[in-house]
Amino acid sequence: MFYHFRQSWMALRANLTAGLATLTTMTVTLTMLALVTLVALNLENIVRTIERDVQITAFLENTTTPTQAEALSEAVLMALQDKTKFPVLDSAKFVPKEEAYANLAIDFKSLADATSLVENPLSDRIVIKLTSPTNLVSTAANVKAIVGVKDVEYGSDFAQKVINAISSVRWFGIGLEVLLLINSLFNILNTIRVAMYARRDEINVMRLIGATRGFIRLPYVLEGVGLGLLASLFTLVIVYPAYTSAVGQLRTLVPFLALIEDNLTVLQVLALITLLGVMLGLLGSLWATNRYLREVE
Amino acid sequence: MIQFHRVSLEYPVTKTLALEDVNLHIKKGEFVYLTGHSGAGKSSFLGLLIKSLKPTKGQVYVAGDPLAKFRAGRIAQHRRRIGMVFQDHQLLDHLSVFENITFALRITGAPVKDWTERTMHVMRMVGLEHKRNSFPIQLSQGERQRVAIARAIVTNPLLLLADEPTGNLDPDVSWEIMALLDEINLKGTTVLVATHSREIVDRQRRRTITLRKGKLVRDDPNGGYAI
Repeated sequence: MFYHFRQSWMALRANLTAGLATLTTMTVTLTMLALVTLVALNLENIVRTIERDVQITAFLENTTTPTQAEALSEAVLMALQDKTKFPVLDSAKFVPKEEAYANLAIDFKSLADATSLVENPLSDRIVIKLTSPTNLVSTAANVKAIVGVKDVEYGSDFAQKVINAISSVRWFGIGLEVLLLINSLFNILNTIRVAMYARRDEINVMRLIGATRGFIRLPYVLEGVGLGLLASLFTLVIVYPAYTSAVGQLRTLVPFLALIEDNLTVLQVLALITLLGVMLGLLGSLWATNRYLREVE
Repeated sequence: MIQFHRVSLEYPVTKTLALEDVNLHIKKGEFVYLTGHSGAGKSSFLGLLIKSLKPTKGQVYVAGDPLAKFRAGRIAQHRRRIGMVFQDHQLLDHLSVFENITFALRITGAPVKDWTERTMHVMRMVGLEHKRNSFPIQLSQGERQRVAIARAIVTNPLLLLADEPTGNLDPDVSWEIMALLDEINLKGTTVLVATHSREIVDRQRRRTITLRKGKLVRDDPNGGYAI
């Protein structure tokens, strides 16, 4: 095995420029891949948070007594049980106008003093949570159509737009990554081919003496795997501190963003990238050596 | 040891007929010259024996095995039974004489503990034990050819193929190389030498096969160059 390692080191040294070019391209690709993956995971997290918080507030017609209000809310809640009209309904909760007014005072402390001076301007309401933001607009329209519902509020289709935008970014990232990975694969392929071509006399002698294909290929496969591993390690060294620093700064600037901060997830992503780098090196070199030997045989 | 049964070889791209309907049989332990002008088909003949070429028609047998049935893995095994010597030596310049010879043992998977002894044995046989640590570039043409022969025989092959082994050598050195091949043959190895050196073939008087434009035109057990 030492012989093969030595041979692959010699091959790398003999074609240092090609090797360095491949190493750089692979490092850039894997770094991009790691960053895109981490960004995608964070977007996923943000989407999940938005989805969890998607709700429709149904304002009820004004009533004069609490008993009337309760009767109206029960009728609306009953209407919401219709699964054909509200397939994504998660929960629905009646909030009397007094409770809503008290909550307002908690959320906006400056209003707390005014609550005793002004008559409660709010309506009774039903807060509806959805399992998914899909069909948010049509669900809101169906809620509004219920007798006794004066108006609805659901933040327009903002949530859906954000989710669509995030999804587009995610697909763009995946597309970009696929192209970068293909580019890396061809880079490895070319590096190994150049290395084999540079040592074609030796390979020819090996073939004539009776070396098996595996014996001839091994040093070049080791070179490919080594390049993949090295590029992965460089990626680790670049991405881990960059990500933790970026998350730290974003936490200060936009504290409400639901970012992934646990080390385990980040390290899992980086371990996956390392594995991918090695696999890329392995596949590229296997492909290159196979093609070269088929050409000369 | 070697049998050609109605063997023809046509190169697909150029449509050149390199060998045409060749029949012959070489017995184990024989020393045979393969002669003919350049382009007569000598190298194609050797290429078929090491299965770097495939016949268009007919069958080639080595040690009783039909080569047509060999797949990639079996071809490597087959080549380990054959020692090859080339006109241009095909030594590896970055390896020393010792390492060049050991290279064959490494590739054929010989036990590591035997490497030194076997390499030293063949180096003594070709008279190069004092050049053990020299590199090919530091050797004369004749010495390089000796290293190539040592590398070819260190694996104890059944068959030794030499393609113009004296092509680049002056007459005295050529005779030394031929004497070496003779010695190897006397130890039981079948030797097939492709050459167009009239002097060597005429003087040695060994079985001589002559090719002309791909056809076997002469198979003389008493030898002699006659084209």
